[in-house]
Amino acid sequence: MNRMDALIHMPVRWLILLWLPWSLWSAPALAQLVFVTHEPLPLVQDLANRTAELTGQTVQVRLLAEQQSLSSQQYQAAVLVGPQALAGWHHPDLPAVAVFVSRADVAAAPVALVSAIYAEPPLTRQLALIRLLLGEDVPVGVLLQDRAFWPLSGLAGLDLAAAGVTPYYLSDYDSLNHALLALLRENRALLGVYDLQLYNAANIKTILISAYRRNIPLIGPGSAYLRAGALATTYSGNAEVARRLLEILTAGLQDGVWPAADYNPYFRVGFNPQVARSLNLPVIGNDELEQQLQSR
Amino acid sequence: MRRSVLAFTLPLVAGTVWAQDVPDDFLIQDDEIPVVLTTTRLKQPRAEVPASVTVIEAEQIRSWGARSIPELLRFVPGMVVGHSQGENSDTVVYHASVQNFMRRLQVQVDGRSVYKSAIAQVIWDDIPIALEDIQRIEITRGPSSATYGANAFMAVINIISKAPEDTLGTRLRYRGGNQSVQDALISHAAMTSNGSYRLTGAYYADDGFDGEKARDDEDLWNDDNRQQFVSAVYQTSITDTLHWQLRAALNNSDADVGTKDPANQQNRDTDSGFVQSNLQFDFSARHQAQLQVYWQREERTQRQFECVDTVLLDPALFELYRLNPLGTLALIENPFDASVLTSSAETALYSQILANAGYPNMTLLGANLDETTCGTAVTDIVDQRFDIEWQDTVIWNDTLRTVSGISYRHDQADSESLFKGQRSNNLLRLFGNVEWRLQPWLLLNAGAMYEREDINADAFSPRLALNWLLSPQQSVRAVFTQAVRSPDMLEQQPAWTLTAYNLRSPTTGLSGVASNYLGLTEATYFVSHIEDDRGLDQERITSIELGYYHLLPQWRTELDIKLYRDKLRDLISSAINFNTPEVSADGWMDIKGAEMQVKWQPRHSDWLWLTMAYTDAESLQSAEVRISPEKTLTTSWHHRGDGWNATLSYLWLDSYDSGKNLYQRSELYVRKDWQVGRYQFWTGVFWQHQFEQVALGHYTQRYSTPNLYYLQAGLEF
Repeated sequence: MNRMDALIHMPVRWLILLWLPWSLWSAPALAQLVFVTHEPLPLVQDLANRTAELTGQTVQVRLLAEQQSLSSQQYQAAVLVGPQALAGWHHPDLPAVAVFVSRADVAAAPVALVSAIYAEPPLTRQLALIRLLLGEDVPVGVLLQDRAFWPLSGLAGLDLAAAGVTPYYLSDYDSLNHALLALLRENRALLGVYDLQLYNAANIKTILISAYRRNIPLIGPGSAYLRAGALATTYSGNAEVARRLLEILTAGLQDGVWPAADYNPYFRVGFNPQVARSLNLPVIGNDELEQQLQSR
Repeated sequence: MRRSVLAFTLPLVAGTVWAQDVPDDFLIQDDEIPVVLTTTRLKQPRAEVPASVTVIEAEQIRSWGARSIPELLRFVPGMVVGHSQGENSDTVVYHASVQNFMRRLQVQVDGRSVYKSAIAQVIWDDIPIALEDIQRIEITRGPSSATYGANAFMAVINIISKAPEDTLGTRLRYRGGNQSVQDALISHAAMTSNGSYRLTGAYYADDGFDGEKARDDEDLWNDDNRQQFVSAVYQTSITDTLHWQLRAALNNSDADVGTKDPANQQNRDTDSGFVQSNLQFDFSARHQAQLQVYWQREERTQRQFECVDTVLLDPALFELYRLNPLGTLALIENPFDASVLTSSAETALYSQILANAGYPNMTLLGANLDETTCGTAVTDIVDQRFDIEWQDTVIWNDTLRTVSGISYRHDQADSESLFKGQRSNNLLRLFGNVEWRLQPWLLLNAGAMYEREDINADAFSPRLALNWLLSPQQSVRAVFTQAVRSPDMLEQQPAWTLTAYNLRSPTTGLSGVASNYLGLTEATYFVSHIEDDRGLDQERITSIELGYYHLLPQWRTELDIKLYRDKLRDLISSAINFNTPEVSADGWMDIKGAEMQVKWQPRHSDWLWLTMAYTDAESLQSAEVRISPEKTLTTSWHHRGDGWNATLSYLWLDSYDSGKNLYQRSELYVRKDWQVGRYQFWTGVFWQHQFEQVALGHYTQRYSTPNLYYLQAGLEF
């Protein structure tokens, strides 16, 4: 079910509640920043609010369909929220920063961006989380669709042998089950990559159940997988994105130097204590994990 | 999977959720990623398990390089592996027990009981599962009738096989070594459009022990073993919430029992099979149920070549023994002392026996009483079981979980030699367990099983356990349990006779009617055990246990300690064999002791497995404690290198057989793997050295060499 379908199925009263503030935000006014999204979303408004609060700038939220009416005279910069907004953005005049987009989305963007914050947590940080939870010498397997995904994985520069990481490519095997069998036989942790095609609803069931049968935890790929049964992940919510956005906008707009697209250095840790206890792993508080990760 | 002490987990604290304050992912819908590891799917944390449990994982099974399940169970604290002389089958004993039959431990394979009903025991060679197909073995060390029913008397061995998805591809393995070890395995697993399946075929053979006097690789003991089986499993998800598993297997085992003396050779041959269906219903993340149905059949024939005095085959002597067993035995000692006879009917039979032997022609009488006739005695039995069980698991809230269910079982045995026809037993079970988190640090488990069956009295088996969590990974547990073992059909309702066929005279070589002065073509031995109902009570155990569990993540160490005191009453300690006329349930045993198991993993590539046990078993029946060592220690060190691994083990059993003996041995298993494209080749060498060549059980159960070894090689693709 896509987001529009979900909205269609929402109760009418919720639509009205959503529409009222939206109509206020989208009223024509002079603003310094515009947040562009493909559809009205409370999360986007929340991010805009936080950014406005942090930057002290006026902020508007506009739909992607309205991009033709946006001018560089009207706004200093645009924040494109989500892959749909990025993919549909055709406004080269306005400096654009993309947020809540994957590294792959940015690489495939139709227009040049001045900066971007990748939605996915960097795998090096996820790996550090594995080291904290499971130990320094635990062999880690990473499953990717094919070799084309490797350069964008964030691990390409890593000394794999030294890091104890082995990539497995689904394209090398007859099925997901075969790939998992090879990975789980040789490794004690599964590092999830933020590939929503690979880690889709159907596959995550196979992945989690296969790994759990062998007492092997899944780390990542994102916060949505914690509820499914992943052991832990780092993630960046709206507060962290707004914080990083402040730094990017300040550097870009005030100093004229836009930081390159990158992972968000601000993060939190999500941890599933039930899965940890069931796998006989120590239960560690999220804050403690965050502190330990920060200090690494 | 069927209920287990490693059941499901409850949230640690009321109101605790899976992860605190984690926002939804912007790119993923709230309901796009399903909850996969639901609470009912998660295993219980070890610190909260209300029992002493040892888990042997596939990794250990592979590392130890063992050939059989009993060899793995040597690494369980408090467990000893003996050998049944009469069955030629390994007997796994927890703490102490007779080794003639393995009948005080329940064994389940994927929820199916392989504990036989007509003659209560477990024969390992009749279990159609390859070690390569086992995911893990959970051993609950302590009585568990509240969970598993009667016969989960002193411990439960729960064997859980791998899902077909975890064994995809084809596996071949051959093993050969001394003691005529010849094993082979072929297995193939694949995905289908909507499920997965695995087919496995295996063959095992060895020549068993060599006997007391054997030297230099001689084999003087006739106990060869052969097993062959094919097994199949198919599993599918009919819907997202309904999962189905179908299992089936055919097994044949063939064992020689006894000496190499041609006049006293025995052999048992067993054909068995089963079909099992498991339906699992995921009603919600907090409500799961399972319907399990299975049918199993076993056809066993035991042949025994015997030569006896012809007079012992006289039908009149058979009738006389029925009327006056002790008098008949006395008469055989002194054939002309008729004072032991107590009625005119007995006297008439006595006269008949003498007349058959030639009386009053004393020359003929003397010759006939010296005559010997040989024949093959056959003990056959067809044993069938149908079992259906419904089990329901509900997590009511963050502090309360229940597992409850009902099952019905029908056992039927057909045997002319053991029952003169058919015996059957119907068993109805009701069971339930409540897990209640009284406080975040205090967990109460209360469970019970009520059983009603035809051939034994009703039984109620309770269990009460408190787990006090000193931390999430550290707990103290106190457990009180009561359990029963139900006397089997042969103990309770025997109609046991021994009939010999293919009669032949060892002196004249004549066969058939000419082989004996009685003119018989088939003959029934005079001793018999025929009882409508012996009225034996169930064996009972009351156990009190105090345990401590601690997982030390910084040391990568898992420690479990158990102190216990068991009182066993109404034990049937006498041998269940043809030469033991009286069977009574008046034995007792008091056992107390301590056990410890440690698993230490200093590095990912290394682990140490250490178990120690002290057992103080007291019983008037020496057979109960014969193979029970006072002190045991087992340890294994495993190292995994690049493409190879090695495991070195040492086993030390002190003061078994009433403090008289010491048994020590070491084992080394080294395995090397090669990956060539999609083909994985591997080879392994196993070597076992016994320090003193003493028998652990019966004096014949020793090898002629201190070293056992085998080589194995495999291919997986």
